[in-house]
Amino acid sequence: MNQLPTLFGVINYEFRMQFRRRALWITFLCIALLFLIRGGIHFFLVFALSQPLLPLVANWARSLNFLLPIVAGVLLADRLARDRKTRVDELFTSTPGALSVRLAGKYVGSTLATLLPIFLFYSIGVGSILYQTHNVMTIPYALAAFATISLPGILFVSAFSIACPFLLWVPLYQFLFVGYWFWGNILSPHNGIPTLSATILTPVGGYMASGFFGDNQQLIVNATVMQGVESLLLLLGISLLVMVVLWQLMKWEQARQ
Amino acid sequence: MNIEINDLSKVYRGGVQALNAIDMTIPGGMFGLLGPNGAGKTTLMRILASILRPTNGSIHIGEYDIDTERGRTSVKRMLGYLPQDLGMYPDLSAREFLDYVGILKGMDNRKARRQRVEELLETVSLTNVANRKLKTYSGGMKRRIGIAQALLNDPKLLIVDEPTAGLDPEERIRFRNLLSDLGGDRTVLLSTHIVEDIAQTCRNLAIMKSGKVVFQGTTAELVGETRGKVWIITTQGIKPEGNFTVVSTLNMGTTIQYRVVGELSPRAGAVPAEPSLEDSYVWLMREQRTSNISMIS
Repeated sequence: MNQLPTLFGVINYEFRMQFRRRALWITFLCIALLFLIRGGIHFFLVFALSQPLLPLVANWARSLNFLLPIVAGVLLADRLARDRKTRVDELFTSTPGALSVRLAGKYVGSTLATLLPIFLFYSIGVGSILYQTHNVMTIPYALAAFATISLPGILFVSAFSIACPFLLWVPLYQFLFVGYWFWGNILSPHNGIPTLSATILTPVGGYMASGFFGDNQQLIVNATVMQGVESLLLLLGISLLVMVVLWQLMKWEQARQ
Repeated sequence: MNIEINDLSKVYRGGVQALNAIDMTIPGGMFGLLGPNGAGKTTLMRILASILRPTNGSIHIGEYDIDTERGRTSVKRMLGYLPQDLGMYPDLSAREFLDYVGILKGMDNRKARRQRVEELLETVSLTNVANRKLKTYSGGMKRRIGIAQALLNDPKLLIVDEPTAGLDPEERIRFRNLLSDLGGDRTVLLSTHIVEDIAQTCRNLAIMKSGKVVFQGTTAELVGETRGKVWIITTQGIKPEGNFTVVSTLNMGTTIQYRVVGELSPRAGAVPAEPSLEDSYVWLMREQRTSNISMIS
């Protein structure tokens, strides 16, 4: 059986189901409002006009990556557990659609749907930068920044949020994930507490922002292009690895049932 | 298409033996699997649908050996499965859900798939509510969607596990008729603990108890084995006592009529009756209990 149409079909329906969740839109709206109130307005009115275009766009992408992936991670955590809860897994296992394809479709479809409000919010900011700078290069720069700074981090978070609840209770995972996010991405390493912040493992995308776009703010400054590439590949590689491990675990569990 | 089951056993983690060295041949057409709760019917259905793996034994479905990955995939392509607890995504509409299952069943041609979905929605009389979310459906409507999804790929093998549980009498009859129609040109395996469902639809059946097959044959053979063991005892209200099991009680106004099965010698007020499948089932279960007790003692 050709599994490619099945993959696209699963992506389509997983996208629809996640996209239709009211919680997705309400939560992102609240976080976006909080973000704007806490510093976003300052970003547009003061900071934006004083920066060169390339680091400015990268800074906007990285700024969003500080908070919005938390929402993405929390909202994606129930996707796999829901199949057990609604008991569709038994029916789906009886179909010739391969488990690997169903998992890949779930990962891609639900992640894309979760990315959509993030991208919309990002686009509003990009529109504002375009309006203030009158420079059309804003658009290609913004797309490149989103693809290299935001996307790898979201893919990384999504992979863990889909896979970990296979072993953990969903609310416990969500609690641990939020804790991890603040500890491993926002906590300064200069505080004396060991942290993953400012390492190439951080999904916030600081190495890509600094290495590719010259955005030297906050924890990571003067990163090289190579460090940016390393960080990007590491995040994507770990995401892939997590999904493969999940697939093997589920296959193993199915075989021993 | 025949199904050959040889020496099939299933032991769950924790040591619970659900199936114990089952041998069974399931011919084409409607086949009933009857037994009390916990007999192992659902486990057998799940193994046949390639959801569970057996601990021991072999199964051949037509030419395919489901012990191999290739065999399982081939069987899944021609399988329609309605589980006991059918899971659905509550936020999808019936039309979307059927389309999604069609995709998973490998129905790649979108136009043909959508046409098939419409046909089946019509068959199960849900076309007018097909755009409503599944969470708004009643139990009977969900069962109908269940049978529709099982039929999407026009399966050669249809496995339905307790399909009429929770349905009202009218829906149950409609369901039985639908299954009977389907049994004409495919193998339909109907698992239930409701004797009437089997009596009305199946010529062949197997009865399971405690993970074993205690009878396999035709409904006529099972009924034949009980001939001479079914009696109607009429009393003024006092419950009759003796070595028999009461199948049903009918209040006639001034008297009460008890339908019983057992080794009874003719006596006053006891009239022999023609056995039904339900009588035969009760007789068989009673015999099983008796033989278990004698084995223990």
